[in-house]
Amino acid sequence: MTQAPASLTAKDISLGHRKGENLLEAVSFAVQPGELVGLVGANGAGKSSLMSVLAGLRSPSEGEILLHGEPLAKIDKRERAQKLAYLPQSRLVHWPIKVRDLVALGRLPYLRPFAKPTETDREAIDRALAMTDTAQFADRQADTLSGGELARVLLARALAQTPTVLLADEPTAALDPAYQFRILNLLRRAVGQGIAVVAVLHDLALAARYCDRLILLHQGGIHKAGRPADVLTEETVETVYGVRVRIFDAGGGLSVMPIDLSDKHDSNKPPSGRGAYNP
Amino acid sequence: MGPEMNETDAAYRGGAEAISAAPSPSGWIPRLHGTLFAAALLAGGAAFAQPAAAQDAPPQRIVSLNVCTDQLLILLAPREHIAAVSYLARDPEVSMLSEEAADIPITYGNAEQLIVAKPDLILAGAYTRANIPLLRQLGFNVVEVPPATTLDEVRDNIRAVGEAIGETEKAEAMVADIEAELSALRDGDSERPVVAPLYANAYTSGPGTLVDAVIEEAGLTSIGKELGISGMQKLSLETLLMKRPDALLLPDHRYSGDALAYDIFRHPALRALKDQIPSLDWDSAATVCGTPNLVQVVKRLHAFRDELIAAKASEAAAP
Amino acid sequence: MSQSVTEATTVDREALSGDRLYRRALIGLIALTLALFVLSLGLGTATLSPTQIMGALFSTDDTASPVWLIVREIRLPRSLLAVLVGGALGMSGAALQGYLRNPLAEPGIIGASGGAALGAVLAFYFGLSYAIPFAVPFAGLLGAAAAVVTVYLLAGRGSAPLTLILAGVAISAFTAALTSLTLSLSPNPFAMSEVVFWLMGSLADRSMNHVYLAAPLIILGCLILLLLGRAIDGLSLGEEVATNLGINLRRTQILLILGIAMSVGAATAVAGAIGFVGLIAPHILRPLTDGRPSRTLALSFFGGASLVIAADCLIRIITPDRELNLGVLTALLGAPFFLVLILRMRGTNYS
Repeated sequence: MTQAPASLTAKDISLGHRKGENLLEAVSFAVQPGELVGLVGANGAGKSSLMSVLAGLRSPSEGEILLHGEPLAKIDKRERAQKLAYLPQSRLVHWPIKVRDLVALGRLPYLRPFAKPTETDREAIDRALAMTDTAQFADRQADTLSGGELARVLLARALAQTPTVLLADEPTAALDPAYQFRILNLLRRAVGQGIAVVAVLHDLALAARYCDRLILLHQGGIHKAGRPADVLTEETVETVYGVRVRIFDAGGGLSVMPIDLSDKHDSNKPPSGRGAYNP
Repeated sequence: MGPEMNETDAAYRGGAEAISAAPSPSGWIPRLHGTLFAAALLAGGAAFAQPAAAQDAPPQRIVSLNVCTDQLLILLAPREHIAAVSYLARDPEVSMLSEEAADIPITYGNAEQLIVAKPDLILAGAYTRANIPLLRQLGFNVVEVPPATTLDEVRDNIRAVGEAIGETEKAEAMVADIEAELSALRDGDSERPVVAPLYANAYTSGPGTLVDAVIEEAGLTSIGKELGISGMQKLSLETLLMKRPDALLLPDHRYSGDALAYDIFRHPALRALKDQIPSLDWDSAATVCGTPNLVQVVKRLHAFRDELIAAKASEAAAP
Repeated sequence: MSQSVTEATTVDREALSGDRLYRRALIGLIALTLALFVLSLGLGTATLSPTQIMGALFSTDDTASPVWLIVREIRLPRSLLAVLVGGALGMSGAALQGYLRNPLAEPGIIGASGGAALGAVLAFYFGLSYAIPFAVPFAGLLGAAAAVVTVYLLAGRGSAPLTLILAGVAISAFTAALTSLTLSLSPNPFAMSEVVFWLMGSLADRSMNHVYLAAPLIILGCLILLLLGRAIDGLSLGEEVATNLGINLRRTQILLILGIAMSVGAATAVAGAIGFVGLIAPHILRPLTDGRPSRTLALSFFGGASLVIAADCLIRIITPDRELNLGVLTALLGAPFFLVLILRMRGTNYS
């Protein structure tokens, strides 16, 4: 009955805040290999905090993270870097670095100091470039890329780490719909290779469409977790987001449509526009 | 010096009457009326009345603002006539009489201090910090004694100070002594070894300085003269090595504490040079001013010169 | 299949050309440094022929001759120090800029040189150099470290580049004032006028003793900084990604401070505070690195060395008798450069 441990397990994670209220309260879940888990929730629900704890960037005040069954805190930093890739929300690139070199940074955890990249490293870089369709920019400088292109290149860096777990914090932020689909398709491709992926997503429809499972965070705790259809119900959305929506099953996945534009906190009446929309 | 002397004559004769009480030589005690007096002076800017002339009284409250006139003053004047000397008189690196000056009050040449002290004679040099025109405007009797750069000027200065303080006989005697001792040293020897006097920050003294005059008087030539460097200038270490004098004259440091200025003396290249040519640790403080101490320096240099000539001769003779 | 093969070869070829450019640049800079070093050996108030100079360099006959003394005890230490000091400053500047992701950072601007000068002055003028060997460069090290840590605490992590510069300016001003104060309190009256040396630097009349004092710390410090190449590369994508890539940020910080304190501390202890070298060298050389900050380290060592030797040669050519201070020349070049950088930065949105 020995089951392979989950790729990433969060056990009872609590994260305190200076002002007393906890950012995270007893969060527990596990991510299996080859699974795309979407982390959704309102702003301030604790998604980014949870991501930094999962990535080992912050220590929880209680609980622990297990990477392949081993406590994350006890794993050697190099080994952890080889298994766990983190894609932060801010797409920072500080120098006019070439795309190929940027992606090559993903191999740092494998390189000995002053060592030259090996064949394995080069292959990993090539594969990452191929998978993200960015080989064509390999010799361009990162600061000449568009937002969408840069997003793909940064994802390629994470993939070049040949991780078993990939944590992506809002990978689709500030991207046009085409690019949003592309990024999510790439994540699915990664999942297809056996990587366990956790992604913070804002677009509920996309989350429902692409993720195998959803975790809905509300005020620091898990409100609901499970299949998208089970998690995204009109009641949960209203509770967590404070908006009323209608949820349709539009054949390929769930479609989420807001039905009441009036903000509960706002006294202004919604515009009675001439648009096609008619509540 | 002539016309100036008449002015000072009149002034200090008057000054003697203006002094109300015996001066206290052991410190600056600004007496209350002195301060008020000074305040009135500064406020009104009025010169205090020219005192009536008195006859033949030498100055009784003499202040010297220059380390050279300090030393001449100490050597020539009775102690009770000296009101103050400059602060440099106690600096052992430039004053030969630093111990004697230990119990004489010192001044920094500040006009306010001088006003309070009411000297009847102020001796100054050419580079004194004090504002000489201002002091003259305020009615003080200021005698300027420019720095001596030749031995003739040394003699002139001694006489000038002697006249100013009313000790002309003593001054003449001093000049005569100096002349007697120096003339005893002069031999007609035409050989003049080249010496390099070296100071902190790698300075050397060439023609136009008292040091050079002393070197010449002792029968030597300075490296400054050989190189065409006049006055006090920095000597490049490379030039010194290439020119290679016959001897080095090294100063004695009397300041405590270290400074980068002394790096030149620690430099391996100079140390190597010192191993190769003779050097003399000489009393550089004695050559700053034109006082009778110069004679000792000349004598010592002269003896050193004889050694140098003898050493060269024996080297030439050896097979 | 074939497509990925051609893609792979494209990547390899690009990798090769970037590497080749860097390698060529490095070799070129080393050659430039050597050439300037040789030129420096030929400059001085004494006129020596190249044969004389070569002879003195490579033989130990006639060590008493003026030529030998001039070449080995005056010109050689001066030239060696120019390389060491320039290299230390250049590499420290590159490391700082890489770590802070800030092209305006350099040891002079952030106060490391000022702190080092203060430390050295405290040790030298109060007689510590006789009591303890290497006291002066070590004091320089401590001073530099204290200044860097203070600036870092003042400016905080992830702060805007201009905030860091402001903190550095404050610390520099403070250390300069304390240095002048210390000198005025020295029992030796020459001390006060030596403030110009400490605040503006000079390589004049240095000896091999200075080289022996400074070289070990400078070389060690630079080696430590070289080790930070990986970390600096990783930081190109920010601190979070760097941590994710396995880089220990705390250790990187400590090594950075140690490396800079050692190299800049020792350099300043023997040559005074020389500014702007660590700003100019990495900046000019960055285009040759393909955006990889780790490559600026070695390049900037030789770039900085070349800059300082060139400036020192210029001084000896222009004002051979009363030499200008080295720091004056680097400031004349560096301050306008710095201004241009700031103005350019204000125009863009710096992230």
